[in-house]
Amino acid sequence: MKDVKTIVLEGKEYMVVGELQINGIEYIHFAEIENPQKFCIRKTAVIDGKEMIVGLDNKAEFDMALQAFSQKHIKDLEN
Amino acid sequence: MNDEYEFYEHFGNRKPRLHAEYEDAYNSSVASSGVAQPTPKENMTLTKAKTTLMAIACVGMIAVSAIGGIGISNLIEQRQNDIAVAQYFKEEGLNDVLKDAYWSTNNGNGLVHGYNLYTISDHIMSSENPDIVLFGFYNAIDTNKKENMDQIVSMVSFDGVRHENTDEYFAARGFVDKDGNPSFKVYEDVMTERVLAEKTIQDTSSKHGISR
Repeated sequence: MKDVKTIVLEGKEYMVVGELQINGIEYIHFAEIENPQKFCIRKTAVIDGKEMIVGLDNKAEFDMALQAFSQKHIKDLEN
Repeated sequence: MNDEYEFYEHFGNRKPRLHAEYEDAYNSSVASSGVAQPTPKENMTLTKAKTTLMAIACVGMIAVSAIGGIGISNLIEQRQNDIAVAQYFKEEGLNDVLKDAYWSTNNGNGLVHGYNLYTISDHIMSSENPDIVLFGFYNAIDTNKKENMDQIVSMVSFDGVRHENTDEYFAARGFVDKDGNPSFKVYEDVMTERVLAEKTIQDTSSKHGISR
């Protein structure tokens, strides 16, 4: 049995399937629990002193994070 | 600018065609889409494996990281295919035809744009592989795809046979789902495979200095 982190984002329940620090920013890869092939990538930011999970800035950041998580998952599966 | 952007850059909203799965993930991830709302990280909770196992069972995998890997690796592969397809059509000179066929005008309510379908159908008729070239135009045309396809198909003959519309063309060429109904999904999947195969042959020939 294993504990996983879950969170409700925009009314849907997601679980954390990966976390990465890239250039000092924490990125989180979430998969929908009901439909695990659907996913999103968010990052954390401090807003008004509170740690928040927020959307990425643009396509370039999304593609960069996507590649990084892809490599991480491939590496995890190989191990 | 990569080939995919270059292939589509002269059209309407000037963005490349995005694969549906990529677009879903992208829209769910970026703040500008309006979907991704700031959420306190403290809302994150630890959940027992029961939920996880349900999710794992859904995809038949045994590791949490594999679940993430499925979505991402499918998507990366689709993106690579999209880029390769766009690159193929660019190399085949479709960009120039599309630029010739493209028109835009201000109708008083704003800019509207479209394509001269005669220019496109002429090019399809003069090509060695009209099915593949038609697919190139299908990929590139970003407005009223179905209507434009219907018109183009009715203006072209394939192996000497004319079809009234896209549905007839799909049925005749075998682009049908398991129930025998014409399917754009089947069309996209099959034609993408054909283009990738053609591109592989082309790349190999080019590498070995063989002219085709």
